[in-house]
Amino acid sequence: MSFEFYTISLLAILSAMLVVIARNPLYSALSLICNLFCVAALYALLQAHFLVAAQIIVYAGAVMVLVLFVLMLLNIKTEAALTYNTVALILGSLTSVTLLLVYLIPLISTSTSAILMPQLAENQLSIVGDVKSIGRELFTKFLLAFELASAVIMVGVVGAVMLAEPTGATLYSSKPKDSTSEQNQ
Amino acid sequence: MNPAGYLVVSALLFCIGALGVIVRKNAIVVFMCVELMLNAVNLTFVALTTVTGNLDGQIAVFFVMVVAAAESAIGLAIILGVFRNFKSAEVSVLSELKR
Repeated sequence: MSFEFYTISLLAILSAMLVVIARNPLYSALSLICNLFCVAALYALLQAHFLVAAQIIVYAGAVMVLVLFVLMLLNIKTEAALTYNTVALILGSLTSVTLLLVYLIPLISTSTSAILMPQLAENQLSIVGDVKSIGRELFTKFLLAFELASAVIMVGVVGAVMLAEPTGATLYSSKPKDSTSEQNQ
Repeated sequence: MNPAGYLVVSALLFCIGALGVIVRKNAIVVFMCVELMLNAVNLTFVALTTVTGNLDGQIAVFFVMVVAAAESAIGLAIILGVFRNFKSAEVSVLSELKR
């Protein structure tokens, strides 16, 4: 484990905590962008070059621009006191601590790492996720899944347009008359 | 390269995201915490490709990214619809079935 790894992962965890505790949703979004860049840097340390580009373009670029756009559009005010529901706070911390223990105990126990170690020595240098090798896998072994992914994106585009236009929003209204009056305005 | 450190980081990120999903009230912040959890799992996939010796984990991350992009478009459209009808983006307004 190198110096870069510790710095980047510390920054990733700090920005992830800031996403949860920031009062202003805008600050949450900006620290989430910081976290996504940190995760992209960790991908770079793991030699996954294609995923670094995809992470920055798709997540930090497209998805977060969409989130920031919706935040600006809704103009949500800062939660003044940030009052947490006590039950939710207790349940949430209990859940996340339990999850953390479930993940970390097998990782720390020696038997699992003993299973991983012999394979580690064999495959140490062979894995580089550059565009060429990822593309070869994607267009041979995973061709059907790749085509289905394009169908998923198409359905997503059509669904987003249907939901976001004013007439499509009647699906969620408790009073249908309100939406018709909104259209007339 | 030992993936244990990366697995610890991704476990921490996942748990922070889970805490945010349960605790926060604003629907967009909840959505961002879900993205955080997805990223933590992606980091696990990429860290374990160094162990398995093939690129299947990175392909899985690619497909998770595809689905997350489509999910974010639809989810934000739903949040927009909720805000238009309830004049609030808090998850607590969506308790119609309780009444």
